[in-house]
Amino acid sequence: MSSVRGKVLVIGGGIAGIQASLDLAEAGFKVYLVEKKPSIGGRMAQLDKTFPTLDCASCILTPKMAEVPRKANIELITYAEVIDIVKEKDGFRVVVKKYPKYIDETKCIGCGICVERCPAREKLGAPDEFNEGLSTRRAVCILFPQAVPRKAVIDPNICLYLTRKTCKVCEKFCPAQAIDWSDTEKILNLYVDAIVVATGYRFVDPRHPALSIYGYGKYQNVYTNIEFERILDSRGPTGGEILRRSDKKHPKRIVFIQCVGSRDYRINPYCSAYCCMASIKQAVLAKEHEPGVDIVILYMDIRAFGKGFQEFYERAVKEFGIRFVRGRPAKIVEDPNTKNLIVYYENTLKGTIEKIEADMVVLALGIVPNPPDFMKRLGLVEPDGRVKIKDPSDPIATPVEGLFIAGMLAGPKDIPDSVAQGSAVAMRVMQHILRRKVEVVAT
Amino acid sequence: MVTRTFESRVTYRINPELMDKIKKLGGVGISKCFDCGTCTVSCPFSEELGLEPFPRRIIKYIKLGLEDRLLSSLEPWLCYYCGDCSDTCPKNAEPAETMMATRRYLVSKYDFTGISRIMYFTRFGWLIAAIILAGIAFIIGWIFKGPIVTERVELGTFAPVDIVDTAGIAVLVILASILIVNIYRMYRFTVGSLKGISLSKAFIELIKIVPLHFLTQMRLAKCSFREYWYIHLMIFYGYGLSFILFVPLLRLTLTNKPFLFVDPLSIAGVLSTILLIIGATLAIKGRLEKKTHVWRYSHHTDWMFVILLFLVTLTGVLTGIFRTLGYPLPTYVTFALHIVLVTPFLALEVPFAKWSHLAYRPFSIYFHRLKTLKEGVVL
Amino acid sequence: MSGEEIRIGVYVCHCGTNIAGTVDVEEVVRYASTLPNVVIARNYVFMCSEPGQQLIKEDIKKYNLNRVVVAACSPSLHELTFRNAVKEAGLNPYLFEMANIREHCSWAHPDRRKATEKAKDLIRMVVAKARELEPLEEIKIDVTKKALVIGGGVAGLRAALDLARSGFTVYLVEKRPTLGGHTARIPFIRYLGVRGDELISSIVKELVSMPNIKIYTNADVVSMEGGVGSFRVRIRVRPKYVDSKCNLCGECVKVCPVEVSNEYEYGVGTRKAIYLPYQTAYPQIYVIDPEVCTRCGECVKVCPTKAIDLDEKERYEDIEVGTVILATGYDPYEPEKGELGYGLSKKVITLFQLERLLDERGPTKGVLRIGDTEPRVIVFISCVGSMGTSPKAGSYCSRMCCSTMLSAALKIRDQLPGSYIYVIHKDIRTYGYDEELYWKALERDIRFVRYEELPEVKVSGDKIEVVVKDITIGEYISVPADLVVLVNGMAQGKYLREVLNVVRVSCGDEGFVKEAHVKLRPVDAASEGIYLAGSVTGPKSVIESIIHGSAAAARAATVLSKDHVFAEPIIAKVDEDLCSGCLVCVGMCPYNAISTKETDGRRIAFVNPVLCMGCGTCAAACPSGAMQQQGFKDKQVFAQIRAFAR
Repeated sequence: MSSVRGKVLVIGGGIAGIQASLDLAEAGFKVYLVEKKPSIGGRMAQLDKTFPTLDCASCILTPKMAEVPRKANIELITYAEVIDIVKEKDGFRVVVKKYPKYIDETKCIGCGICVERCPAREKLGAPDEFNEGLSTRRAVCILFPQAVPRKAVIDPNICLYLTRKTCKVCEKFCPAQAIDWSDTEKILNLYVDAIVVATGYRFVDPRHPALSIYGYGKYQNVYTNIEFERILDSRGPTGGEILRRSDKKHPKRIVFIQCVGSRDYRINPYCSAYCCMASIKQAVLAKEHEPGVDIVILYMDIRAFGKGFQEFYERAVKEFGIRFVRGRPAKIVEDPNTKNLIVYYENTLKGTIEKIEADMVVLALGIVPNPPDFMKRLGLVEPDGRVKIKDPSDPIATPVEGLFIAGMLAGPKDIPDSVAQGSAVAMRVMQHILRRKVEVVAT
Repeated sequence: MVTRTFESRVTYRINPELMDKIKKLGGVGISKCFDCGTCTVSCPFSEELGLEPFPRRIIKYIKLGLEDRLLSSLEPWLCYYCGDCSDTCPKNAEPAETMMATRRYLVSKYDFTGISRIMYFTRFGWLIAAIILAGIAFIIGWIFKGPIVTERVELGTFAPVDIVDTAGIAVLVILASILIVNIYRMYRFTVGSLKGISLSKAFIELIKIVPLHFLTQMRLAKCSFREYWYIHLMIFYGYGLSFILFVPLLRLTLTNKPFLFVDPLSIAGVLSTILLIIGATLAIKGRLEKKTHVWRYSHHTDWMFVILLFLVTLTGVLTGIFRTLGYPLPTYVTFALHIVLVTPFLALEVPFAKWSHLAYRPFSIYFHRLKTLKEGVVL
Repeated sequence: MSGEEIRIGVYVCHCGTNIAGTVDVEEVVRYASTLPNVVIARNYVFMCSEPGQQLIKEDIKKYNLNRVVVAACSPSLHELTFRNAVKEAGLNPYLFEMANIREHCSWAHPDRRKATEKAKDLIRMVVAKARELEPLEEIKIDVTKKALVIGGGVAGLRAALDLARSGFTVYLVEKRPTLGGHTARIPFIRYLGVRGDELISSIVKELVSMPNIKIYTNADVVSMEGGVGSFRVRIRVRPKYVDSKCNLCGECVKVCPVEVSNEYEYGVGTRKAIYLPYQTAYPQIYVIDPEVCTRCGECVKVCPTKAIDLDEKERYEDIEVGTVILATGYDPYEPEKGELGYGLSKKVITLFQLERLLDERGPTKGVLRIGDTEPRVIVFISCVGSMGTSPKAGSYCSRMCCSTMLSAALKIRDQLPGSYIYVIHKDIRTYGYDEELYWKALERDIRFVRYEELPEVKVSGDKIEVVVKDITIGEYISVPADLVVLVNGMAQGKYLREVLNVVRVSCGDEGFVKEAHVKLRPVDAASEGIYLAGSVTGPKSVIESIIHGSAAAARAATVLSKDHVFAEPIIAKVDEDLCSGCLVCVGMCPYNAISTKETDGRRIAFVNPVLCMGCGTCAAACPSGAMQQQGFKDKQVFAQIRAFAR
């Protein structure tokens, strides 16, 4: 295809955004893929393995990520945010704010020498967002080794040169002379025919007052499930060893608590759909890492609804000996000496009050859609956080013509559904653009 | 509902109307419950050995309509309405209210006369009954009243102590009898029989348990909203003291003697008044302010109780004031009103409505003890 | 490539801990670098990632590599990825070979020493083959910008609509005499106020107005040849015996002597041998069911427009399309007679039958009555046909039934506010935003009973008693029910096996079609150019099926938008000098890709490169060795075997 059939903006470089971009590009459309982080990949890049097949997440994701820069039709704009959209003529004018990377993307080869040399580390560093704050990163960093684009970025809050005018070690060692201290915030105006918003989700705050009974932040050995995922990952802060915060020991018992911040009228009444399976997956992986560990999952309903899910659940019980107990805990108490946690719950299938002592507790956190601010300004976000859609039978089309959503932003779902929505939204965009062009030509 | 043994297991036939009844009695959020069990483990009583955990199970009985299981449960009485369960419920299903509604339901079921059912299930049945009883008290009082002395306060002349005392004892005996029968019915529903326990052991346990809990309500102390225990004790002792002064000691108090601030009887009277006023006021204020979960919903029987209690207390206090100040006619009028109000108050509340808990609660602890002895559980 | 020095680069992947956790990758790399012709050997944590691929590309340039070996996962996962990387570096992508040291090694053998030794063996074998590799050119295939959609349910309709709107010609083939599938008979989607038949009608209305779509109903696909870009398909259109002159007067129905259970109403009600499937069926023509028609001819006599022809024959049509979308859907699980009282009482019905009874346009105009009485106590029993609750049931979860069941229960509450509804369930799986349905159902006083032991439905005469143990209180309860609804799930489509004989996709054990990758390619079939939409791959809701329909259309559009696609050259090729013309291979080929041609007066075999799928059967059968599989030639395979034997 030599000519471009239309221009599309895709906001969000997670798996749904990536799929939409690839399909649109293959079909001959120009795609601007704008991603807030320095690399695409989204949440899936932080996962170790995926359910129910236990595929290594990076193994299946990175090839798709690698395809993105290979497509001539896709212009990848990372470390940038869409701050506003304005309807203009038949399309939109999009205002994109590019954050300064202080690194010239055209020169950087992603060798990583600057990262190795940067002295703003440990105490001078910052919590590593990719590892959910369980480790620190340096002022100059590459988000993760398989980042696309694999380019470094400098954090102006902790960079010694940008804060104190000293150092500049990275500049000294960079073989490509890619450091650019004069970089500034840039505003970009893009003109597109349609927009796909696939900005994913954010976790419910585990420090919400209604969740204070779980002791996150107070008790060292209470983790969120995304933190635990990073611990399980061999690229993570502990190299894949399950070591707990308080004493770096291996746990003998891990208790998972489901529906934390979901199905709760005080926080979020909806079901987050992914967490039952994610916890079962993490439990199975934990058993593989620590064969002797006892794992208990406290649940209300196990939402094993997708393809292969129920079979995986049964495998977890029969093959891996994961214990499932139906009961929602109301109290967690920390033993001040061992820092173990004692979880109290009613075993509703036995009708008894039980307490269980765990070395680690993992909270399966609920999720809510993460719409960009401009969508809130346009009145496209309901009070309960859901994004408005035009028709209840079509979850990916907003009331605004030409503005579509896909993936977790359109509601809690798992990876295959996000991918399917990514492709489906590409088709919606294709039709939206082609039909308008036909109409325009006809007049 | 019919319970039958089917292939050597007990199967309970459902009564789908049970949940509607409980909702009418104040179980406002019961529909929302989705069986998570958070309430059960939040309950401060849930750790007691030998106790089947609640309230989730009780709520389930109601939703499924297992009337037999509900009637045989002691847990609704072992619940002290602290509200911890409602505070932690993720669905705002108000389990504490359901337990309260269940208690109302059980009171209406234990009562053999059917009057209790009228109190609970009709909106103004209590008012009509109160008016009728007040009317009867008025007529009797009118017939038997003594001469009205207007020069000074001669309460003892106006209200001859013999009459009042006899009437009082008569009413007391009737009410106590009804209550005792109802307690026996409660025993039959919950314990069933004394199989396996010797009569003497049963008697010893009765002596050990009932008076203690009746007088201290110590289980209320476990609840996280501590004030609740104090307020309840105030109301209890306020009333208790009044009861002692004006029933067994009536002959010493219903006299023509003026009020002396220093004799023990007067002091006791003032004390009881203060306790009652403070307690009742805090309770009413709390119900109006809906401060805790516990006071957010008031069934008409709660208002019935609190209104009558307040009026009775008010008229009693006013009688005392007018008597002290030496106004004869106001004294006689307020006293008459007091008697006319106290009659329906006691007659309706004690055997048929909210106040029956003064018997059912301490006895529930006793019956629970009997049940555990029967099952051989060591506490 | 005689004469040229062979320069091989070997890359050993850690695959996170998947390989490196068991195999000593450092040792393997050291070993690989000692092999003859290996110029450079490296290891990296994720070879398939961008930096991993960069390593290969840079090395090809830096070290002048002309062969690349990657020792990593299964080629089925990333062979294409690495071939593309090699191509981008300017080297022929077929000078690349993979050694599977994950599925064939680290994942299968826990012993570190033995796994490392085996990895070394595998790499040695592949390096030996790599030396013998020859460059191959991909086969350019012209893309026919037309699509075939098999299945006229909601997913197929959506896919057809999307592709038609995008400007492609679409052929839509539907087995039944009407479009709409099961969705057309669903009166309410998720309590949203959307009717299934209206959803269908709105799509059909637009479809039939488009010039670039051809719809075949009462039709099947009987054969399919070819591959992506060019599928040659034969469609059989079965006779309806009634043509478009039909004016829907219904006179024929009155005189038809044959009455059977109406499968369009899931057995609630009957139809005649001549019938209109349902009110809003498309096309709006009556049809005769040949399996029950007695050919009495009464209908012919009364038809005012003479639209009936009992002698109509089936006809065939051949088409050529670039892509195929399979959207043949599912069929609801049919409980066995006696299963939970099914078939023993008219008070025991399935969820699908219930929906018909609640449909305002249905057989009872939406009034829920069993016999003449309004049911007072209604019991739903879920997971019938799923979750292993009976010997015939699937072990999977049917995904959409919890939400559908609760929507139906809410509808019943709307109609019969005095009714009591009990839902007997295993789990309540109202996932995502559907949790709202569960909360609504609870608010409307629907009672939930959780079971582990299957409930008993006791039928005695007119009375039904459901006995179940609620495990959250450990008590057996007995519910005297006026209506029992068995919530049946989704099962394999009745005719799927027939379709699979024609369309080259495979089925899992649970009866649903397998996707190319269950996580990242949910609408792609393993074969290029074939896409899957809707519940053919597994249970899903109507809304999810519509999304999948659009997704499959998008995937198909990526092929149809191009003028050419390229096929892998791993195909069989005849050495014309060696071929003796025995033609043993012709009969062996499962794809009918081999024919004959004349050369120098001899008749020899000839392989059609577009049809050949590279299965290797002919090459194995060829007695003279004239037939060679490109990329798996005898000399290449023998090199591997010899390297192993060393």
